[in-house]
Amino acid sequence: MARADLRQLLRWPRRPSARIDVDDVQALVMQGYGRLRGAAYLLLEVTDPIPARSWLAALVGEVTLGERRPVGTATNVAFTATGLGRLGVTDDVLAGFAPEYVEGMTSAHRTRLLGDAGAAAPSAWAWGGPQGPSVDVLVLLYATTAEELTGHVQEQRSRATASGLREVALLDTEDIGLGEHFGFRDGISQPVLAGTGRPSGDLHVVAPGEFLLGYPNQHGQAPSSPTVAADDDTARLLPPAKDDRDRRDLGRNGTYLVMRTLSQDVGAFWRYADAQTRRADGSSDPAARTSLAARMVGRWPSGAPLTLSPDRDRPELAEQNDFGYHEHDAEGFACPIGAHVRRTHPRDSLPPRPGSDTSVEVGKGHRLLRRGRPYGPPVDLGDALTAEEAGDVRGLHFIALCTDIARQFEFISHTWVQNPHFAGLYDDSDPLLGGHTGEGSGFTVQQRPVRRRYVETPAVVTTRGGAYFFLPGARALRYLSGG
Amino acid sequence: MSHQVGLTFTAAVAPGREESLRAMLRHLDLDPAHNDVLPFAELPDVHFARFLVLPEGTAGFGATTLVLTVDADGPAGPRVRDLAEEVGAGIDAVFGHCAGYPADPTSRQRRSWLAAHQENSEVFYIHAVGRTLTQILDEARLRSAVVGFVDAEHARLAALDDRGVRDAIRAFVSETPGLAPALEPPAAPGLLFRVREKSHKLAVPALLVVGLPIVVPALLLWAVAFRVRELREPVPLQVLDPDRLRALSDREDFEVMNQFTSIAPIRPGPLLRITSQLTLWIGNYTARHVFTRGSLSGLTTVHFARFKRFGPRRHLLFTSYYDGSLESYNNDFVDQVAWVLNVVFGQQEGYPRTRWMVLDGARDERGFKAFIRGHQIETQVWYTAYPDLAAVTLDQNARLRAGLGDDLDGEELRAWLELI
Repeated sequence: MARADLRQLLRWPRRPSARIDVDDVQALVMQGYGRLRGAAYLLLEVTDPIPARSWLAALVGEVTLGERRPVGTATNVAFTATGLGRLGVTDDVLAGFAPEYVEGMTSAHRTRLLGDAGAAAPSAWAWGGPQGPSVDVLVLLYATTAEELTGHVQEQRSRATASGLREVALLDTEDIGLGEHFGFRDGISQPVLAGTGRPSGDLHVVAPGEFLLGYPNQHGQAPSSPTVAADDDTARLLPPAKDDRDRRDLGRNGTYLVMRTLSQDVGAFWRYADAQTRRADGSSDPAARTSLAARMVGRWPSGAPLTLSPDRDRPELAEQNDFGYHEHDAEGFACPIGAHVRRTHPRDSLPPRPGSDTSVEVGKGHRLLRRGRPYGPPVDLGDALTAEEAGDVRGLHFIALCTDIARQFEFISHTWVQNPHFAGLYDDSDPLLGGHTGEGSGFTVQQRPVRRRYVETPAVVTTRGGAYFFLPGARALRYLSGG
Repeated sequence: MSHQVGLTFTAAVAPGREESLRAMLRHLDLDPAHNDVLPFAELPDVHFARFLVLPEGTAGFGATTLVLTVDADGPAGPRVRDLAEEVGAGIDAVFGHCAGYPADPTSRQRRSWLAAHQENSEVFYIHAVGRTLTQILDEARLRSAVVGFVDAEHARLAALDDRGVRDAIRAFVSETPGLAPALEPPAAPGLLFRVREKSHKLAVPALLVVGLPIVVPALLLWAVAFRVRELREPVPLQVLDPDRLRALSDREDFEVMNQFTSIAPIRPGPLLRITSQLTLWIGNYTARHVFTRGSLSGLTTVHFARFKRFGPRRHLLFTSYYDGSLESYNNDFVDQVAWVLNVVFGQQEGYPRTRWMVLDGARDERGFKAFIRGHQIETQVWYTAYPDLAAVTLDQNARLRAGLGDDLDGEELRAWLELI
């Protein structure tokens, strides 16, 4: 037996291969509905639980499930802990959900972990904040075109509001192509659930239990899952709980859905890059400006990774995602160590033993399935550089799926994104997501003979809303609707 | 310059005084460094300190118990004297709630009372043995100044070669008032300490070799007995009270670093008592002689950590100061150094099942995280002399300073420049 195999055997619990019961899984887990260009998110408050449960019972049959690409429209539904409570889930059942989910995104402690301070503090949020109405239910609506979406939304909102639910907000999205508002290709790097048979390099194949309750995760364990007493599931809708014959599994085939409305100040981002790269005569230097902006992001506007092409954008590398940082660029001379994509997904670059398979494996415990979409009209670079816009004009409705909010979403946020000492940096913040906490004041570009640190980087992304939701499996939805 | 000491002062709270004590500690907690009762920042050699109030019955104590831990540059005698003299009024105000504390003590009485209530820890891990608070603060100042210098002069420095940049930095340091001492290496711990540690380092293996005929069969017997116990013993998953969990986490993640305290019983029976004694010896030896230079088997986020057998029922008191969140601390344990945790925590109640002592155990992520939170207790007050400095930053600062004095070339010089 090779030494590496032996090590693997000693180190990693062996994983039983698990077939995913896809027809019980809301389709959003399996796909991002790329062909459905229109999307809107309906936030609802439960005002009367009995009609609200009937509304849900009627909705269940329309919820999009599985791996097949939906035609026309798609519908998914998720709930906050308060929402489940209002629908009749008891406290002892809620206690089986992740503590972060039950506590909610806006507690003082979670706010510290997520860097939601200053202008990004929950007290200033447009939705989900402590002063606003309770956000109980999230209905995610998709359609092929904007026109079809309008009809889909109108129908769903009128059905909901006629049946024990009140509309808190309707969050629109904008089809701006493959990019995000700063002007960079987005959503390239996604984990692939092991066992789903999608082609991908080993770097991105992750145990299904990282994204679905009821399956082995990266540690070879089924993630903690909420259960109900078997006696409360008289219709026997739910599968039996793994370790307890008297309980049934409410979590299986469900997952947590993290949603954050992230306002993007495109002008502030580009004006900073422009000011830092002006020529000696004071004129703008477009190439240098783009180069610095790309260094902050970690990819060029086309999506090409700096790690593979440090000096110029090469669109032919746009979807290139099979590379390590340590193997090509341990020091950060190509892609700075603090670049946004290197912080949020450090690949092979962190301990233990950077560059090793073990480093990659450990990193797989901190991945997210991203399903968000941009909102607000795009702005071209010329306008962004000259005109200052007030208020929340555009941004990203960030949506991420994971089974362990603490180890995945919050860990990435706190230990990597918001950490001023990430990977040995001195006092930097994430060039896109940082800047609200007062910690970390710069962005370092590693180079010879000595690094250049850009100081007083502006806050360019501001959280404007957010909540932790649970995206149940189909059988659990039926159970929640009262059978 | 000196080595580090971990002091623990324990005293029973006088009947009826607990509420008043807790109120006072809440007051200290508002500003541990500079409060008007016991301002820890006035103790010049103290890295970390904490107060714990243990309810009656904890670890078998017959009364509510007050604990003060101090992690400081040694030796111990002068540190006890500092407590008695530099913050004597504060010591009176807090320990005045304890049974038998002298009324209106003189400084000498205070010292002897503290000394009489002081015990050492069995295992004392120090991120970098010998690195004093003075050195840490000096080097942090140096780093900050050099970073500022390179920020401001980048355009000029970028045109130089490696050697030129280094010479410019050296010139800046030697010309800046207050920084010049950094050109000299930091003082090493005292000769006596070094001789003592060296002798211990050699004596323990020597004794083991001498004792081989007894040690080997004893270890074999122990290993078989321990393995049988591992296989047979049921391990219930700990159920956590969400309110308690929330009370603990509400006090975390304000600074770069956090603190952690747990108290847990050893599982019953002589076998685990013996095992625990054995692992404390191993822990003591490795903390003193193996993991002494900035890495706990690859882990670089722990500043100080201690194990101590504690109370009439000999529970294990664990205290540590670490960088990042408890989530990341636990993930490092699960993913990287599970075997270390298995050895030192493995005999405690509720620890996930191990295999041959070092395998499995903390690799059970759910069980391990529940175990850690399960035995964690609230720390009423804690103080750090450098809340903004991560342990890795301390190491970089020390390398920056060391490299200023050394004659570096080629790759070494480049690595040094990358520190900035």
